[in-house]
Amino acid sequence: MNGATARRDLLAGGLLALIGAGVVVDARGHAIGTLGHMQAGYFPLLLGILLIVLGVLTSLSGLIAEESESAADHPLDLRGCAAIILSVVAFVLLGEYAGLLPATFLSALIAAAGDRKMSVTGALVLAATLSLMAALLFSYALNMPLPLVRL
Amino acid sequence: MLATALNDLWHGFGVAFEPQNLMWCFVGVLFGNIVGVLPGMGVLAAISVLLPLTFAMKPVGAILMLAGIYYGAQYGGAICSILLNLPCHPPHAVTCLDGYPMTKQGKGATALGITMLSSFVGASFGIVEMIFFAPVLVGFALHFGPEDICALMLLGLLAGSTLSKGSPLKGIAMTVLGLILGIVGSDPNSGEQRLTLGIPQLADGIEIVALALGLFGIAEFLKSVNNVPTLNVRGTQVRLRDMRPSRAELKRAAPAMVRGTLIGSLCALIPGTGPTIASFVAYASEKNLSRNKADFGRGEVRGVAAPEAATHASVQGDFIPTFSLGIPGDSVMALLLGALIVQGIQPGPQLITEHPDIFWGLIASFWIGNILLIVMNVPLIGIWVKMLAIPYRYLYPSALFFICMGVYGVSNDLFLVCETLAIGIGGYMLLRLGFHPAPILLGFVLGPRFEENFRRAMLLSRGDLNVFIESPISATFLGLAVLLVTAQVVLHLRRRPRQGHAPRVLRSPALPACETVPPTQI
Repeated sequence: MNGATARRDLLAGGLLALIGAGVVVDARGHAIGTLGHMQAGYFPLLLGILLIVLGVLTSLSGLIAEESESAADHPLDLRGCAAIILSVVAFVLLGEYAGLLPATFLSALIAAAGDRKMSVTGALVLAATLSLMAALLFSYALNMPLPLVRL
Repeated sequence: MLATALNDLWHGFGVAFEPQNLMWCFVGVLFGNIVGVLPGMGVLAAISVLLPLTFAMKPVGAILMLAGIYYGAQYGGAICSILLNLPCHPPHAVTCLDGYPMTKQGKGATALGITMLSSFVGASFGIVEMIFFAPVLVGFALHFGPEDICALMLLGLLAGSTLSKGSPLKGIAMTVLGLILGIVGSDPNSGEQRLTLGIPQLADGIEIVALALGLFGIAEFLKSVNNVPTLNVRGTQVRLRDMRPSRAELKRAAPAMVRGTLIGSLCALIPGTGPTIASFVAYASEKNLSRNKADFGRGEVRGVAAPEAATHASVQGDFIPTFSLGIPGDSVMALLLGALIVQGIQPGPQLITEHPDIFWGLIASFWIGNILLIVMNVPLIGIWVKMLAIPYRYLYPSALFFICMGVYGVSNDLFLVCETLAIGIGGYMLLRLGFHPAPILLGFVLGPRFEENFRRAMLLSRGDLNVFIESPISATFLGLAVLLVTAQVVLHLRRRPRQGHAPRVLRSPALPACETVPPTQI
């Protein structure tokens, strides 16, 4: 038995069961009906229960599994993840309030800052290139309705 | 029947040679080829990025292009394996075993030449298989009742989720999650809002582009950032004239090519066994057949030819169930079906008769695309090698930008970008918890149709579940599904003590671990 795998699978199963429970709660807000005459809630209810069962099984499987699956082998990179998430958030906020060009430029800079080997010059060149592309390709050629700069 | 097939094919070539369609086919294979070469970029992400663009296109052009990305990427994927020993794209992982030793012996160019030849042979056979098999399947499928369709979908979903990577249990859980995500939005019968969490933008359901780009774009970047090594390609040179294999090498490779092709096309017919499994089976059987097993792993031409032929035969064959039955075999096919549905085309057995342009045009474009790929790859191989060296730190911010723009372009609404981000973060959590999110897409695309057919079947039988066993077609599918699950469980239990899982060959010391490079998961 592998402690880390067991813990991870316990968590994984718990998450599944939680989602399943949420689905069940939502399904119960609708008419269920019968098997011969299903209403809106029937199928989601079925899936929710199924997901709970699968969640429990997943939690249990962690107790007997020995090998660790590959997906979680990679280390969590906080800086990179934060940069990527913030970059998209910045794109949405700046796109809404400042326009396409500032949104593209800044979100590209933020995303680039996530990589530890990125140089400042490299990031600036990248952001400028992408901004140019945003203006020429998306704004000019594809006529996207997001204004380049919102004043 | 042969005559009608050839006649239809002729018509298909007419469609595929229309300048516009020809152009989209070219764009698709070129883009696919580039993505296949670039380390750390997946086919699924590539198709999803271009998906919003297709909404404004005619259905034929859209499908030709998206399909082109898929098989185009297979040509690019082998380059990385052979020249750098990096199994960046799972179907080509096994090609490393003999491809890289060939490179070390200075025969890398020959290996690439053999690969291209095998790819073309495999793909051609896969296309022929599609021409003859798809109409047969359709003739059969037109008699399906709702209960049969349900059973078939169940089989497809189970196969797609248990045969992919990771534990079968987690695969099934992901499929169910996908089914749940698929029914978010208005109930088709009563219009009630289900699982929308009170968000009005979710009334029309989750957007497939947001789901695909979240799971295979953002989640993959979160996983790969600072984890992808920059490749050193200095000293790797490929000269054009070296690519032509010698007559002796051709003679050795030819039978392997044929065997690989047959294995690949067989795998294509079994739902859920995609190109990755096909290439592993082809390599293993080639090694078993050989009298000098020791040659394998030391630059044996046959070890390159067989898996590559199998991959390409299986890639083309994958389209058969998707377009004849409307049941996608894997997540790439699910995405293509999603694109069709967005275009207002209902997938299913009626597709070939109702939209012959799409089906036969697609088949014809396969050939055109494969020839374009060969013609393109030979002179451009030097550029591909240089592109291998593009550092990931420039790739992911650019890709992120294209994702934001692409998602925004679907409905000109920044909410969709938020939706994508949320799905991406969720997908990354699932990845960290040891799930492989690819089956989610399969469930997502089939979810609404599964519910519809299930409800109809139960309505017709007045709630009698026996209808699934009484219909011989449905009973057969369910029997196969039970067989599949039993086999999986038995294999899983027997495998555990030894860890002898086929794709795990990759982690043997002979190969550098490439888990850090996001696999395409097909």
